[in-house]
Amino acid sequence: MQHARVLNSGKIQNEWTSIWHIQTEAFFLYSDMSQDRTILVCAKETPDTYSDLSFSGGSVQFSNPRPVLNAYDASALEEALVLSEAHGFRVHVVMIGPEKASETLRKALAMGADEATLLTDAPKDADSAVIAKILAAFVEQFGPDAVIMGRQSQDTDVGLAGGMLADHLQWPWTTNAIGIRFEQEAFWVKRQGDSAQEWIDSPMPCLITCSNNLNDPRIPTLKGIMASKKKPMHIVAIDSLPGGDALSTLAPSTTIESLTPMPERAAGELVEGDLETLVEALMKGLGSIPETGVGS
Amino acid sequence: MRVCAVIPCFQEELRSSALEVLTKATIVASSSGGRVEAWLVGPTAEKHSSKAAQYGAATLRVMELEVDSEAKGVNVSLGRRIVDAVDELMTQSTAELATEGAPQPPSLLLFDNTELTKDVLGACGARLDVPVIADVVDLSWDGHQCIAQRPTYASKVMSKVHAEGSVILCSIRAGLFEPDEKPVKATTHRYKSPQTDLLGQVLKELVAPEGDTVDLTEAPIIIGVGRGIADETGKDLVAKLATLIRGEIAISRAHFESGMYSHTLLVGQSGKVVAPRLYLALGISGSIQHVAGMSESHTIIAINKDPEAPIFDLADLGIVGDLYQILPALIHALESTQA
Repeated sequence: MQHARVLNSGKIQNEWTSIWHIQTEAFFLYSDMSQDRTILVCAKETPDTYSDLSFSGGSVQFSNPRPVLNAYDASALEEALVLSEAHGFRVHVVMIGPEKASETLRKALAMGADEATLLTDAPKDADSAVIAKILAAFVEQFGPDAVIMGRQSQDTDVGLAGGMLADHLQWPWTTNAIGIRFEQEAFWVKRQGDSAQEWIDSPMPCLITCSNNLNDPRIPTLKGIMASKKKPMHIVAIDSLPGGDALSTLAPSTTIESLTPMPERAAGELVEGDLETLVEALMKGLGSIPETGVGS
Repeated sequence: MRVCAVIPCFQEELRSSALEVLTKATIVASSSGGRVEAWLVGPTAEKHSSKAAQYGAATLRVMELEVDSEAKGVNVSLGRRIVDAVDELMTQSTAELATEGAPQPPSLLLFDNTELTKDVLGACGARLDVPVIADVVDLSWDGHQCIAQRPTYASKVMSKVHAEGSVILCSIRAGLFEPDEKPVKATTHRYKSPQTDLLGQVLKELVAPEGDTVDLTEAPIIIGVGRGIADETGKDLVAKLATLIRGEIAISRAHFESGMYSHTLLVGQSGKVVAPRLYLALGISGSIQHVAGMSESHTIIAINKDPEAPIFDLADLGIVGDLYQILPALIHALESTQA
């Protein structure tokens, strides 16, 4: 990484947009990692799905036009930063997206990540399977000690990429983390299961996917934002990764044919009034559901 | 062609989500001319195989699986064992069908949508190198193409997803299909579990709080508790009500942080996704994240003191008022009818 730092420490560092042009030659220096251990956070940029949604010509628009860092990935990054503070990991964030996604990736640096890579020129309509194959090529080249990522993205809610990536890498994985500790050279993950919580211990390297109930991701401070402008961000075209020619032409195995508004629930009855009226309405409502046993 | 319900068997009772998957498998099979198989994987696989036949599976593939932890009635295996098991069953069954002289049949593998499935579905898809569609609410399949409907954008948009291939995996959201008995005469094939290399991973401990073995995705009546229930008095009222209407308690994000309830009970985009017969929302405002986890409920009744609360937009019955007055009066009314 030394070369990349040199490139960023001169004149260019005051003009962070120029970092965009530090191309793939820097990438091959990843193998020259310092002895620092690294957590790689895989992040995605999504629309702000918590803003108001509208339809126009079969596509979806959100009232906030600015994309956001996927909330689940933000939790993954927060956890990586906490682990970094306690155990000295370097935190590197990788994102697949267009060059414009560097703005979102810059926020991850402002939160405190040390370095970032934006993988550009992804195949059109990439699905989880395509994303996982690209990330696998990147991870194999990069060689982090752990990958931490969101358990799903807040736009599609698919939640497959983590498991796919782990299987490509043949790494142990733990999903839906609600707590992570690093002890005795292993990651101890508390996972929320269906009806219990599991403590799972994985040696390095391993992959962890995070619930967004794990923590509250920090808001970048002004200092963090200033510092982020000097941090290295590598822009790497996917076809320059190992096996890149095949990766950049991968066809998705699933395609979205259409998006339609969810059928709205019919507007119900709203009851206001004195206590007697309210309880009466409730008794009637509960009585209409046989499973409550109220009507019988 | 075959439609295979993949059923992890780690509990004494077969989950109702497994029966729903079997029912959906029989529906898809009858419209596509396929056969229904049940792949039962886990320590209680043998025990549940007859039930799978009762729900329409003519071929039962049974694989006993090692358990990594057993505590308080909850069995858990690490996900890698399940991925290896599915991979092995696919290889073995394909080989068997080939020796019977048939060409490799197109296979649709259906999973439920529990946390256990979410842990392994992506890895299964990568291992088999086949298309995967997660969390579908409906699907059709013709042996080659699969068209599935799945909610997206926090359940505000329905996405129609297309996949094609000789093998396709889908997970099905729970609570949407009524399990339907269709007894058939079944043949059972038994398989030895493969040797799984856990890559050094160890399941250290299972934290199953006493009595907290409720699986919300299975519950017909759910009482969702939000910020409006703020103290032990409120918690006691909710507990009483739950007993009276046979409900299970769920929580919104507010109580994930309050510490009043177990984290297992969280319903929402980041917790459990449920579709019970009745969702009774108590003091829940109805954030997008929470609604994404319960909007498919058959009936929603909401009580909230704020008439503008977004939860009322989707409630079949909305009650505007103070929970601390309404709940005691409601409990009294319920007790007097049941007395």
